[in-house]
Amino acid sequence: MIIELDPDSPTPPYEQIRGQIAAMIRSGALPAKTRLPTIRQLAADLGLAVNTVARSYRELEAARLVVTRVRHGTTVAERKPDLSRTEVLATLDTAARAYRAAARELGVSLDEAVHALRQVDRDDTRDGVTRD
Amino acid sequence: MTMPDPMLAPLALAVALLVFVFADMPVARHRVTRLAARHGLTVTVDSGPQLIAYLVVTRRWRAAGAAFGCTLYALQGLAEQRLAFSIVYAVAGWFAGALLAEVRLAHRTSPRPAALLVRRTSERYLPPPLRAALPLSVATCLALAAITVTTPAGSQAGARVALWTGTAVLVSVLAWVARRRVLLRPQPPGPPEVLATDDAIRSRSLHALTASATTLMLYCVLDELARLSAGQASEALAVPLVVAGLVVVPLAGWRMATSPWRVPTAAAQ
Repeated sequence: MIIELDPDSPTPPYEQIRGQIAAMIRSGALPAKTRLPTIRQLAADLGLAVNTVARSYRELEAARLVVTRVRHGTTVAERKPDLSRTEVLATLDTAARAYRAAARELGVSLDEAVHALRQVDRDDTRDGVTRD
Repeated sequence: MTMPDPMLAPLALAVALLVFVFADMPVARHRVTRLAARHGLTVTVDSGPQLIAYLVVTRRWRAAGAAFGCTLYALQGLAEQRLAFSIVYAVAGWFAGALLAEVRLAHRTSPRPAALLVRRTSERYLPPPLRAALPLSVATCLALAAITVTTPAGSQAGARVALWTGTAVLVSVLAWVARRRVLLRPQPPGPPEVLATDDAIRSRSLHALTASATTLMLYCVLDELARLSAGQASEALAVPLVVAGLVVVPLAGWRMATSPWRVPTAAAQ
């Protein structure tokens, strides 16, 4: 459960944080009711401004992936996000394009990229990572 | 307790500086293994230097703080032509040294482009009795101060009650701020082993801060109990209060500071 920022990425830091936490929640790596670090803690650890992390949390909250309550902090929401089939396919399409672009950049063929994806899935299953 | 002569402070500071300089010695192996054992760590090539660096900083500052407190009180006694030692001053110095050590440690860590998604709270780093110790002692101290000022004996000692109450409030605020800084200190870069050692170090810092602050509070409580009992059953209470001040409170402080605690791993949370 580690968030890593790529300082050279064109994606802004708040989006990198949001994307990684959202992926962890959707994959089940961050189960419901898990308490996330405070905004200040995450900002201090990553050397970012508090507002940057706050924006990530706000967007996660807007997507109903996390819930923020006074005195309880931010926790992973229990309900699954209500995404329509079209939204699910659109999100998948974005992720697939990003993965394909990364594979191309590395000079990896489509078959090798798909094989790597299957390998990750097998590893996760073996390690007991739950998924939707 | 009387207020120290401000003229003695530079002299006490000079002694503290001497202790600070002479405390810069290699850390003994048994100290490192003892610290690791208190948190269920195994000393390795990665965690060893981390633990040693922590012990070097904390030992110097805490020892210098305690030396400053002891010397200040001893010089005050010498000025009145008597030999004197005060545990309260020593503990106050220890607490001040612990605060300064944390400031020093905070400057040593720099952010990294990665963070563990685990919330750092005092629940994670302190056992339940230690978490409750400081709020309870502050509440007791303030309640006793309120009772003391309403009694006839207490109304005559208004300045003294104000001094202890002010000390209690100041110490609790400083401890709270320092605790927050320890929890927010950025994690060092490195493998899980380094992060586990960092957790142990954070826990040890919180132990020392809580123990020194609570011990100071308990002395405030004892003084107020002495005020309250004055003129009533003073003789009957005198012995238990002296025993508590000389033996029970210092031992409790030491026990709190050195109590073992295994920080839960991220997976266990």
